[in-house]
Amino acid sequence: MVSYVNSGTVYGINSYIIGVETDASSGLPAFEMVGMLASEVKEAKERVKVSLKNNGFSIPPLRITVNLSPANIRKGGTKFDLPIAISLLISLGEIKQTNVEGILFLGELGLNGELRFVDGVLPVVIEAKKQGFKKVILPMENAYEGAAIEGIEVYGMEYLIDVIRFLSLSEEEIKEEYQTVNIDLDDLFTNNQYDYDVDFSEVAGQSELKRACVIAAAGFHHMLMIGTPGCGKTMVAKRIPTILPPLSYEESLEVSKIYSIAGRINKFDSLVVKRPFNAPHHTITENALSGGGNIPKPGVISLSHRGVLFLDEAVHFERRALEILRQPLEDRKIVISRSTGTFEYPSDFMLVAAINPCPCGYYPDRNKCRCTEVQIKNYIGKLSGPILDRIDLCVQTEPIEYDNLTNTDVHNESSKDMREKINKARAIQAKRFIGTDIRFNSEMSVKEIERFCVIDKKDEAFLEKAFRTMNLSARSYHKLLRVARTVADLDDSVNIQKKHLSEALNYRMSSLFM
Amino acid sequence: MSINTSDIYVYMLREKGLSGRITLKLCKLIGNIENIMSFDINECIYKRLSEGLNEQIEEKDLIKISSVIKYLRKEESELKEKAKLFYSDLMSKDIKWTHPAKEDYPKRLLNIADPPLILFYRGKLPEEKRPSVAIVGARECSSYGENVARIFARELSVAGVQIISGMARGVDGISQRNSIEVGGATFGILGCGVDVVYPKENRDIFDSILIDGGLISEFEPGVMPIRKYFPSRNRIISGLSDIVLVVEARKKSGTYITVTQALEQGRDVYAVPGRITDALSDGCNSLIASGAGIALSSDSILDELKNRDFILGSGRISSPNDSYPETSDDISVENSILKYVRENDMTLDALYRSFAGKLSIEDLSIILVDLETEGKIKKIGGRYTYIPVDFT
Repeated sequence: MVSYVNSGTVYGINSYIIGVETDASSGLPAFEMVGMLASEVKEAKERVKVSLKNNGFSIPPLRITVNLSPANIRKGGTKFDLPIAISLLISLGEIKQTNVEGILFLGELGLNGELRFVDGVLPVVIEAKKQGFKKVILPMENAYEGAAIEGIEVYGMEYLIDVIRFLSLSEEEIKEEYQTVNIDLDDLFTNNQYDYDVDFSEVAGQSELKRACVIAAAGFHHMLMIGTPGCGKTMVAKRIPTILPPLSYEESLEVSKIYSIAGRINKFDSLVVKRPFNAPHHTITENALSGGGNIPKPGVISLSHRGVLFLDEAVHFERRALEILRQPLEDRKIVISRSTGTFEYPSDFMLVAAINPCPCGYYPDRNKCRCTEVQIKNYIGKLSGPILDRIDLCVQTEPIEYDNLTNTDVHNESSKDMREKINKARAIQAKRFIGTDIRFNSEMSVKEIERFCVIDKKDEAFLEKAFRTMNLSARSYHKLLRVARTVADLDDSVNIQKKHLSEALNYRMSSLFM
Repeated sequence: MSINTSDIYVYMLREKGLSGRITLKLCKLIGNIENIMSFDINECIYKRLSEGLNEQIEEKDLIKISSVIKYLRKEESELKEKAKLFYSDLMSKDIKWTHPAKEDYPKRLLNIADPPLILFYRGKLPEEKRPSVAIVGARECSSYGENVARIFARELSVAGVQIISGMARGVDGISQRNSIEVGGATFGILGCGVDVVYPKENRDIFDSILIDGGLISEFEPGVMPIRKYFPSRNRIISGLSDIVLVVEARKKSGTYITVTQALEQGRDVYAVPGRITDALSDGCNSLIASGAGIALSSDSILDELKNRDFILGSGRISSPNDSYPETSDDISVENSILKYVRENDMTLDALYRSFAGKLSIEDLSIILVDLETEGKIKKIGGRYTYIPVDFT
């Protein structure tokens, strides 16, 4: 008899429902598995056989064939252990085929029959719900991840024997004996979203930098921090996630899907509710950044989706690695082509780059710095093509003086205060861009800029004069308007006024670097 | 320009390695360089003994001259051909030349220890009647040095002083650019051929300098700049000027070499004082300590030049302190900011702290940008720096 059990897998960012068919018939005893399987899936047969034996099921000497369909999708990971075991039991007549209808199985088996943690649960559960499945059976360690999806019953099991018993019960008995795993999403979002052990109030001084962070976070603008070594660039960057607007449920699903595929969701964790923050080391390879492997797993830039990608010492990254950033910065996604196909991962992140002002690090302090303008240009020029063109905000800082560290009179703005301002600006933007794909001011194209960033005739003259005296390029014009729009939103002003333009100009990119 | 016989002979001497110093003496000895082929060392030694020419020329120089002339006689026709080719090549490149046997050779160079034998130039040579001042200083200068170089170059140029400098990055280029901007005559002395643009940053002034000034070099056209050429270039900078003004210099620097040479040549050296804590003012301050003139404004230089009977206009456009009204009743935020920035280059954060929270960081940045747009301050790196004089 051929049994049929449902499971699922992810291929790139897409998830598919996979049918596990097993046929046990007489013939030369064998255990064959087919269906374009990676080696870890092929190994499943040993885990399944031993764990069934250890749970009291003997496998008769039959010719057993397991097929995972559709057979043209490559299957990897260990999540098929459980469905294969169930499918085998059905074909051996231990479980009724009708009892597994509408149920999706995922899980790795230990030799003692224990159900273990697997990758990529969330996208499969989302797909299962879409395809009308009623129940999902997951390892307990993964259950909270699956439970984030409403409208499908998620059961977390610890042992194979629990699953087998579950399948032998009627609906009413299940309700009595087993409980679906549920999580309180509201609680998850409200209590954990800003659960950080760092806060902006710990940053003494650096008000300009903090203000720049507020503007950048409010409009999701890419930001460049230039500063002498030890002035607190890294400290500030680490705190940027604490002021970003909260992740919405939809955004959280997007992020969690990527983290689930990358195997980055911890045991017993549910959705990712904090905005991601990734600070790769400057020796990172292009593959680690973009996503690597035959079937690429999400890279650092995709893991930073809807969050912050922080490049510390950005000029020291390899040119090839920096080039990778071009596409994501432009299209907010990364397309990776491999012999196995073309994969697309979302990567809509806020880039925060930190660099020294010059090779020695002390420009413009000419007491210490003897770098020539050419050296400075060459130093920063490494970033220019891929990155500088797309950065809206630039702020240069210097180390603060000692009395600032000890002076308790000065109020250091906390993350909460800053977040409140940002959330207001965020709400204005949400209203402005309703019905479009745009969420933040930084995403405005020239068309939207012309529509939403109208400035007065008299301010145009000011802008022209400023451009002349500050030696700005035409390219910086649109960047400036985007930032000015955000500044105006922070000020709760419908029109962009002169003061908003002025403040935006303060955070322009120095013409020395362009 | 046409090629005459003296050009040919000077080329030949140069080709055989005779220095400008000896050639100059030779010219004095034989009156006209065209008599060179009939030069007789014995006659000279006799003359020297009988007429007492000792002071003018030493015996070892005479021996050098006679050995060079021996070669000249041997290779005369070859060298003449080479010389003609050389000069016609210069003419085709629109490059002019001068040497001590010519009328237009700068008189100032005649009394330095080692005058260049041939000077190649484009544009003009400095006028003898007009005073000339060399403005030199650090390549990587601070905003202070930049401001000072600008003020001095502009004011001296307006007064009619010719500005001599080395076209280098930093103080040199800034002085020359500003001199050009106010229509002054400025001369760039190069450590490479006059047709080589170096450094690239100053590419734009390599053409505009030719309108009223010139580019001068003792190196043949096409010679690329090498570090070791610069000290010898510096001797021409100081040699062509009446006064050498040092704007900003570290204690160990190329500028210091220029100053040493200027002192050897008997030129007056003026230095712009700076803070004793600034590494870039070290050189200037110690020059002052050892007796250099103190340049507090362009007047210091102009007065000195007037004492030497040069006729000059007034250079004063405004003093470094003029544009800031010192009145106590003007306590607007803008003026407080200007006051702070004038004392020190300051970051936005430092200003924010100076106002002790009376102004928000937003408002402060708005005012700063406005001041910058008006050209009163300038942002360099993260620091705002004061622009002393508004020339716009």
